[in-house]
Amino acid sequence: MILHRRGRTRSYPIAVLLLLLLIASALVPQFFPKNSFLLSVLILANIWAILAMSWDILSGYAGQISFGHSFFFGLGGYTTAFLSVLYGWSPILVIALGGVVAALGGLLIAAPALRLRGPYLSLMTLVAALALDRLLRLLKPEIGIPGAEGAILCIPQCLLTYNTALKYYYSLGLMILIAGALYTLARSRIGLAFEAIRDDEEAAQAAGINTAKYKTLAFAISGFVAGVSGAFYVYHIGSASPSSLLDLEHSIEVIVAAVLGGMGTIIGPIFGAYFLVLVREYLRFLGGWRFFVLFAVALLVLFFVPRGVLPELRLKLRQWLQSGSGQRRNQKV
Amino acid sequence: MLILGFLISSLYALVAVGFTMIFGVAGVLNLAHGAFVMVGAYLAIWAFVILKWSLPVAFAFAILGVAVIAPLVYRVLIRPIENRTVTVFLATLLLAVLLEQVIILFFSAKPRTDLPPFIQGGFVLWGTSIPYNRLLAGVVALVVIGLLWAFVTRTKTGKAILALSMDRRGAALVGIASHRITLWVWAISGALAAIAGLFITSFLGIQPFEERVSLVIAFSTVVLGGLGSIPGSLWAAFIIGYAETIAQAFAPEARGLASLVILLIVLTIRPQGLFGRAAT
Amino acid sequence: MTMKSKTNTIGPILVLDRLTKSFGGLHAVSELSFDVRDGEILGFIGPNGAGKTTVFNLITGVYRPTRGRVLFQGQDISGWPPYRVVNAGIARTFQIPRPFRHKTVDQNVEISTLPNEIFTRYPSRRERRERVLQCCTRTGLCEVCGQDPSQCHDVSSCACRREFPNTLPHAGLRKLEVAKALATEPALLLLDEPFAGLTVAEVEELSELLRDLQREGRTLVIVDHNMRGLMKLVERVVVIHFGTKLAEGAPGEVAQNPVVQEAYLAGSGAGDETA
Repeated sequence: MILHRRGRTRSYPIAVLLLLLLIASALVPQFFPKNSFLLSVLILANIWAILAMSWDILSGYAGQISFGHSFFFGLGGYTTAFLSVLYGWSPILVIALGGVVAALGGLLIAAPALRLRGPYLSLMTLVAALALDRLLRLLKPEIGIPGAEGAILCIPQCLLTYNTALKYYYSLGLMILIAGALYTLARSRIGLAFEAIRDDEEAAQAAGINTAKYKTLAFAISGFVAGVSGAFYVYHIGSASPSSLLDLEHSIEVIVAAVLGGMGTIIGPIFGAYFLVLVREYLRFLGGWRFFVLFAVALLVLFFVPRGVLPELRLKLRQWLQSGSGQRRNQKV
Repeated sequence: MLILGFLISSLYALVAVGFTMIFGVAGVLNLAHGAFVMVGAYLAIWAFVILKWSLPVAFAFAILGVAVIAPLVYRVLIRPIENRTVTVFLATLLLAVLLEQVIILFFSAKPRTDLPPFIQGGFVLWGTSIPYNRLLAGVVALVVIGLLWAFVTRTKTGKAILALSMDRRGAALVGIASHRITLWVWAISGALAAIAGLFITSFLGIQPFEERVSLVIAFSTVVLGGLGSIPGSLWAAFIIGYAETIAQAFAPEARGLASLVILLIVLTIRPQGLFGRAAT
Repeated sequence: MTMKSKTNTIGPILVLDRLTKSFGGLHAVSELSFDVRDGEILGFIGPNGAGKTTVFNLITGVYRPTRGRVLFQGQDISGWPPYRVVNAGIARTFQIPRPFRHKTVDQNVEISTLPNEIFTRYPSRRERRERVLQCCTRTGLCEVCGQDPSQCHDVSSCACRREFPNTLPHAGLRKLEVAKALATEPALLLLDEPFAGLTVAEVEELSELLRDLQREGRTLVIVDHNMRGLMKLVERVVVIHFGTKLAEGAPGEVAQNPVVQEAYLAGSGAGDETA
C-alpha cells in the first residue's frame, strides 16, 4: 500500500488550518491597534506573497524558472508612479493598469523566451530585469527626485490611506483575492497544461498542447500579478526607484519564498513570503545574519525537503490522520 | 585600449572557461561561480591584510582555498541532488547569495581595495598607460589557459575531462570514473575563478555584490560561445571583453550594458551560441 | 469514441514524399518515400540508428524536413508544429516512456484531452473525463493501478487517480504511453517500439489491444528494430537502413529479401539489445 503517494485527495485539515489563519490575520488590527510597525510588516508580507505566487504560476507550474521577477514588479510599480503623479486616477484603476503593463512586459519577454529553454530562459529573464534597471536609471524625469537616478516620488498622489489598519485590510484582501484566483487557475485545465509543459515539454506537444501559447499565457498572467504587487508596493511606500523596485534581491527573495513554502502549490509561497518578510523585518537586530539564516534555511529546505514545507506538512498530517483510520481499515480487509 | 581590452578579455576568459567546464562535464550550471571569484579575492585579502602573509603566499593560499572549496561544494551539496536539474540550479543560486552574506558578515559590504598590485609601475604604449600588473594578469591568464589546454589534450585526466564533456554515457562506457573527474573539474574551475578574482580585485577592488557582475559576464560569455564549448567561450570572452572596454571608453555608465545587449541579441537570434550545438 | 477529420478517402492516409532530413552534413533520412494505407497496421523496421525515430519526429513536426513533404489525408502537413499535427489526427508514443512525473496516471491521460483554446467550453470537463476513463480502462491501466476494470465506472472512483507514474511497472508505463496517445483521438497512431522490454504475455496483451484499435478503423504504424515480434501483427512492413528505404512488402517476403538480411547481418545482431 502506497501511503506516501496518494493522488488527489482533499486535505481538510489544511483547509481548516488556512481558515483559522485567515481569521487570525483578519483580527490582527483588533488585537494590536497601536502596533503600526507590525501592520506595516504584514502589508509587506502580503505584497511579497502576491509576488511569490506570481513567480510560482510561471516557474512552479509552467516550469519557466524566472530569475528576473523584479522586471514585472518594477514595471507595475513604475506605471503606478507615473499614472498617479501625472493623472491622479483612482488607485484601483492605476493598480490594474500597473498589472496590465507588466502583463504586456510578460508578452514582450515571452516572444524570445519561447525559443529558449532551461537556463537560457532564466538568464533571459535576469537580463530583462537588469536592462530595465539600467534603462530607468538613464531616465531623468522632471517629476523625479533630484539627484536620485530614475526615482519618482508620488506622495501624496499615490497614498491609499493614512489609516494603516485599513491599508492592511486592502493588502490582505488583494492577496486573498489573487491567491483564490491563482489557486483556481492552477487546479484548472490551464494549470494542468502548465504542469505538462513543466514536466516534459516535448511530451506535452505530443499530447497536442500548443506549448507556445500556454507559455505565453503563463508569462502574461505571472506578469500581471507581479505588476499588481509592484503597484501596491508603490502605493505602500509612496515612491518608485530602480533600487526599491528592481533590486535583484526581490527576484532572489521570491524564489526563496517559493522554495521554502513549496513550489507548484500557490498557497505554499504565501507562507514562504510571510516567513521571509517577518524574519527580514523583525530580526533587524541580527544585521546581516538574518539574511544568512534565511538563505541557509532555504538551502537546507531545498536539500532536505525539496517539495517545500507546506506539501511536506500536508503529507505528514495526512499520514498521521491515516495511521489512525488506516489501522481500522486494515482490520477490516 | 586595444591592449587593455585584450587583458580584460583574458580574465573574462578565465572565469568563463571554468564556468563552461562545469556545465560541459558535470551538466551543472553553477550560479555560484561568480561567488568563487569573490571568495578567492576575499581569501587573499584575509591572508594578506589580516594574517599579514606575503603577497605571493596569500595568492597561492587563495587559489588553493577555492580549489578545495569548489569540489567540496560539489561533493556535499550538488552530488546528492545531481539528477534534479531545477533543484541544482536553485541550489547554486542560493549558495551564491549565501556566500555573499558570509563575506558581508566577515568583511562588511564595503568595497575593499587593499589588495595591492602584484607588481607596481607601468609603461606607456601608443598613448595609453599600461600598468605592469594588468600586463601580468593578461600573461598569467593566457599561460593558465594554455596550460589548461595542454592538460586537457595531453594528459590522461585531461582527456577524460574532454571526453566527459562531449558524451557522458560514452565516457562511462570506456571506463572513465566520472565522479572523480568531476571533482577535478570543480577544483580546476574554482582555481581559475580565484585567479581571475585576485587580479580583478587588484585593479578594481571588490565588494560582495561584485560576484553578480562576474556571474553575468561569465554567463553571457558562455552563452555567446555556446554552453559547454571551451573554444567557444574563449572567443566569446574576447568579444565581450572588447565590447565592454569600448563601451566603457565612450560611456562609462554603460559598463555591463554592452554585454547585456550582446546577450539579448544572441539569445534571440541564435540561442545555442556561436559555437554551440543546436539543442535537440 | 469518435475520430477527428474522418474523410473517407480510399487510399493512403499518410504519404511520405522524398522526405529528407540532414543534421549538419549527416543525412539522417534521405529521399524516403512510402505510403501508409488507411486502416492497416504497418511495421516500420530497421536496424539501430536507421532513422526510424527521426522519421516519426519528421511526421509529428518535432523536426522540420530539410526537403520533401508529408501528406496526411491529402493535406501537406510538413513543417506544422507538433500540436497541429496531433489535432489533425496523428498521435505518437515515445520509445522511452515519457510520463508527466508529477501528475497522477489519470491526469497524464487527461493532458491529452486539453483544448488549446483558453476560453472554450468544448470539450466539456465531463466529456474529457469520460474519454480519460475509456482510455484507462481499455488499455488496462485500471488493472495496472490495482483495480478490477469492471469496478471502474467513473473517473472519481478510478484507481488511476491515486497512482503516479513512478509507481507503475514498466509494462504499465508502456500502456500509459498508448493511453495518452489514444486520448488525443487519433486516426493514425505511431508507436515507437511499443513492445520493448515486455514479457511474452504482455506483448500478446498489447497486440490484442492494437488489433482492436485497427478494427475500430484506426491506422497504426509500429516501429521495431526486428521483424520477429511484429510478424503476427502487421500486414505489411517497410524496412529502412541509413535513412533510405530497403524494402517494402508482406513480412514473409521481406524477411527473405537478401538486401534486408545483409543489413541486419552487418549490424551483427547488436540491434536486438536496445531497451
